[in-house]
Amino acid sequence: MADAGVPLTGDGILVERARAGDRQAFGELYDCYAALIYRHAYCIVGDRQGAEDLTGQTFLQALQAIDRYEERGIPFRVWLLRIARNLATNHWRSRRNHLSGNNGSENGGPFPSPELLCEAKQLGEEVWRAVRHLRGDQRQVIILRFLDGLSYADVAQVLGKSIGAVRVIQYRALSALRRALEDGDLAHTRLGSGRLSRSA
Amino acid sequence: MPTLALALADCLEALEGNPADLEACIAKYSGHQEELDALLHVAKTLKEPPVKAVPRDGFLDDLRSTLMKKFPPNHATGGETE
Repeated sequence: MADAGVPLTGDGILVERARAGDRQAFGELYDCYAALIYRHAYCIVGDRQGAEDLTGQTFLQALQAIDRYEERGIPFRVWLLRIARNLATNHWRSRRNHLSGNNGSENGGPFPSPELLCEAKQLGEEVWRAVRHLRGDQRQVIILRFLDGLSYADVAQVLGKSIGAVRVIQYRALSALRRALEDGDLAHTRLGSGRLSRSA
Repeated sequence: MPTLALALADCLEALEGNPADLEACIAKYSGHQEELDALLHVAKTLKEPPVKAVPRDGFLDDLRSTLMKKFPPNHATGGETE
C-alpha cells in the first residue's frame, strides 16, 4: 500500500486502482508494458513460443501478486522485469536439470535455433545472436540496459547487485561480444574497421 | 579493469545523453581510447533490437483478454466491461 504523504506516480495510481478492483487499470498497466516484456522475454529465451509463454506467465504472476507490490523504491516496470527474470531463471534451471549432458548450457542460455541462425543477416542481428551466448548475468545486463533502457540503478535492483557490479558486468559483456564478433566474419569488415563513428 | 568499466559506463552515458560529448569523454581516458572505441561500437549496434522481438499479430490482444478473464472476481468491481 502507498504511504500517506508519498505521492504516487501514474503507475502507482493505476496499481492502487487495480488493487481496489479496477480491472481497466490493470489493463492500462498491461498496455504500457506488454510490448516491453515481450521484447525482453524474446531476447532472454530466443524464440517466439518461449517469449509468449514468459510474457504470459509474467503478467499472470503480476496479477496474482499485485497486492504485494510497493511502488516506493522500485518502479512498476522494474518489478515486472524482476518477475520475468525470476521466471526465466527457474525455467533454465529446470531445463538444465533435465539435460543428461552439460552441452554448453551452463551459462543459463538457450541454443540458437536454425531459424535464428538463418535470420541473422544484419550486424544488429548478429550481435543479438551473440548476446544469447553470453553468461546469464552478462546477458541480463545487456538486455536490461540496451533493450529495456534501464538505468544502472534499476538494473541493479532487478538483479540484486550493486551499481558498481553492474558496470563491471556490462564491461565484461561488451568485451565478450567484441571478441565473439571478432572471431566471426565481421571481424575485419565491421568491428575491426577503425574508430567508432560518432555521428549517431 | 574497474577503471575501464567506469570509463565505459561514463562514455556510454555520454553516448546516450549527448553524442557530441562522446569525443571529450573518450579523450579523458586516453590510455584506453582504442578499447573504448571498439566497445562503444558494439554498444551502438545493440540499439537495434532483433527483428523477431516484435510479437506476432494478435498475441498481445489475446493475452490481454486472457488476463482480464483471470482478474479476480472479487476485484472486478470497476472499470471496463466485456
